[in-house]
Amino acid sequence: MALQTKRYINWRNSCSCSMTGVWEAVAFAEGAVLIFHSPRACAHVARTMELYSHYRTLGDLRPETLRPIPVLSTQLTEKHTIFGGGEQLAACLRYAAAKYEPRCIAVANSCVSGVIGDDVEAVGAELEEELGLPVLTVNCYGFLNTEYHDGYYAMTRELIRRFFKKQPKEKGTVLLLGDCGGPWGLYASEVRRLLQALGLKVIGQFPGYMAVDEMARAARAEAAVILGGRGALYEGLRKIARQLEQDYEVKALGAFYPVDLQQTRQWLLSVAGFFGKEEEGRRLIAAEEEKLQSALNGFLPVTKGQKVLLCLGRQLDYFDPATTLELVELLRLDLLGVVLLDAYEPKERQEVLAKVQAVTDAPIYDTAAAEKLCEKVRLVLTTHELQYPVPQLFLPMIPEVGYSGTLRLLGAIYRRLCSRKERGGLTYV
Amino acid sequence: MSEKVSWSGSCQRPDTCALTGAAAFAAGIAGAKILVNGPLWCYFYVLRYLERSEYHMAQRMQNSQPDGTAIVYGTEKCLTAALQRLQKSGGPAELLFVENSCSVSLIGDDTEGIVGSLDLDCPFVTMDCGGLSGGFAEGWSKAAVRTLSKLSSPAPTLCEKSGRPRLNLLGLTDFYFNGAADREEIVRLLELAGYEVNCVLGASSVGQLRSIASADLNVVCHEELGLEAARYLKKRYGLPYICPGLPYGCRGSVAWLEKIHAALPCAHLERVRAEAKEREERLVVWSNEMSSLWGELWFDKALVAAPGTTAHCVAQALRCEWADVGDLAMLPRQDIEHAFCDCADRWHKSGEEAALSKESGSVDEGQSLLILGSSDERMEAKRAGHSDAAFCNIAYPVSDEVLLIKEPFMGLKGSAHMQQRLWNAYIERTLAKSERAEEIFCKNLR
Repeated sequence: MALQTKRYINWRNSCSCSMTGVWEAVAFAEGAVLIFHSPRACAHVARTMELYSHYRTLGDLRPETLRPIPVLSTQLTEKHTIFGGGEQLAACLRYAAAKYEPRCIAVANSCVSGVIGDDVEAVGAELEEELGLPVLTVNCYGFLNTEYHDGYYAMTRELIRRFFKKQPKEKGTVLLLGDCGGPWGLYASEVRRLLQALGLKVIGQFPGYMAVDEMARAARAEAAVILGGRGALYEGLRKIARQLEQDYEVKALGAFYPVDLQQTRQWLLSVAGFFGKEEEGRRLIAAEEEKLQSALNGFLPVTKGQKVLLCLGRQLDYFDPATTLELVELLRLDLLGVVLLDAYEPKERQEVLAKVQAVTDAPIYDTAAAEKLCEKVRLVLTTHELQYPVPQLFLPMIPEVGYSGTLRLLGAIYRRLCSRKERGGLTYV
Repeated sequence: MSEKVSWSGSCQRPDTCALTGAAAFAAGIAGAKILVNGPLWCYFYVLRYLERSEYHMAQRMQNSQPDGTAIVYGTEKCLTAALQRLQKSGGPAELLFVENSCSVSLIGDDTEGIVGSLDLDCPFVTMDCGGLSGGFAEGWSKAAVRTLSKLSSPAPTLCEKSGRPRLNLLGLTDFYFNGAADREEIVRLLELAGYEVNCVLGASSVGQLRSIASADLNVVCHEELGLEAARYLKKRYGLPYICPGLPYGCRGSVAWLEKIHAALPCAHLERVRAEAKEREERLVVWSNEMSSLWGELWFDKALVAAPGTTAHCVAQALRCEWADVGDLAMLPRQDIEHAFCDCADRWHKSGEEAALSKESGSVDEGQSLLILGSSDERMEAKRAGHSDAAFCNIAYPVSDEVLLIKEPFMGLKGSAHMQQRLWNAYIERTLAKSERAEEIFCKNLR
């Protein structure tokens, strides 16, 4: 019987909604207010994302140091689909301006406003003049030929256009560009830790986590470090970084993605090199790798030679098998094979197959053969929850970065292999 | 077209959309499969919600994933392909439920015709029910009426009579927090009293839905979910209905049953009264014991935030049976027609501006606060500086608690369970406060 997963989400057309991307771009930007030009219920998606993020942050024992901005909805109903939602949007904008006295109002458009053809930009321009404050609109309408990241990038560009100003540079300063779980998330925390170890100062994380009033001074940073580094998502951030470099002379540091040891080294050396701190960079790498090796020495007696399986069903934009294979090698695990789950469309499957074959000689299987393999292994490293009673480790959606990230993953695999439970189950890192 | 709307806090409510509510109704029908004719993102968030109550939901749900072009030229192609995938997965369906998201509902596709042309071997229901229709309750309620109108015949299908008075329960769902356990307790109480439960609208088979008109009385449970269906069944079959609220607390459960008994007498009400008396006596003795160690179960202020009927009935039981409360405010997620709570100090309308912020903002330092709500209210309260409040989840979303043992909140068993949870929340809060007091004391000594 073919191996089943809890769910497959085959991605045929649009995957996501641009509204939540717009929200993410301003979510904690003090001074802003966001309006969802949508039915009220659409807001629950952003609310759900916020809720999960809040409790994940608490679970990681990290303080949530910023507060989310006010979010309103124009509360479109069926009658607005006949008469249009422009007046409703205008009324909501007036309310937001009077109630919150914000520095700007951002508008995220739903697919409903797109279908009914509201001219959101015209309403925004009119109200901007009337209210005397920036009303930021984007040409994205829910999922209509746009994705989450389109909304995110469009609003980011708009924030830069409206609020960034050329600044004299402050020596040794860095602006973090992107999201990846926010400033209290593991990604940004690790990047900040490594930059601070080089003697650099992070002046903020943009967009999403920088107050509107701070944006005018954001370009004082000498360099911008991109958070994230793969596929179309990364390309959008790179374009924004290039824009910052061209228009505001903030050097874009994004050639490497610190997502495994090799790339973390390259990333650190490139950042250190830009700031003339090559020697500090080399010392930091040596110190971090010594710590890592010390931890590995503790793990290896348990992990060496243990049979594992890798199950992949995630798009390459979000996942690089080489990163996981590095962990397999570091822990000297015995990789019995790689299973390609039934989550891919045919073309996508070919691309993943080629990518996997380029980085490992391990045999590649489909789901029909996978169940028998599961019986032979101690652990499955997987991108999807398998409905099979074998111990599994879920490979995180937001990659673990830097030395701390690698160590967390290695530790999670080690602990899973220490476990004597035979009932299976999934470990989230 | 602009109108007087309560804008503030419109997005600070944890309610989901009608698409989710409608899917939850269909998911409560045994063997039903669901197809969301809308974007993947909307489908995914519906699925994530339903998976809180049913782990294998993904096996019964598919998605058509229309793109921008389909929104212009119609969704027939992607809808047909998705239906074919759904038919192939996991055995035959008892019922196929196809729901259009809000943007798809605007383009005027003949979904009924498209699905009908596929020569399916099961009954099907199609409907528009995106966020334009409202929240979870509106979607659930609309789906219930739509499904009943499709499945029920002009003449009621009658079942063999057992001789006991026969009831339908309208508006119970396993997709409310702890819903399955509550449903089982309600059915247990009714059967103990001598009723036969004919059909639970929201957790039944297609066969039970078809014979829904053979009951003597409809009992509306969660009013925001079941009232429209009761009205529909009254109009179509002349079936009477009552809205007794929900049975929280020992006395509350007996009072609830007495209302039903008044409309349709049962043979063994005394059995329930006897069990209630015995359980209440135990709870009093046990509460006395806890009070001797931890002090009285007293809160200066309590907030109850939950779906409409739950909020009313929990608030009533909280103040009249479970705890002593100085000031009680109620924040129902939906406005309901009947008032089931006569002891709250304040009752906020569902769309009222920033009600939670106002309420939690009015708690003075040193006052004890209890919040009966969801993880969402807890997040808000924490952000407002009320980390030391006592919390007890009674509604989704719940991210900060696991309930692995199926024990109800409603009914006689539920009364003990809720008292247990309230006491534990109170003790946890007291311990946290005492640790802080100890820290301050030691600091002052130094």
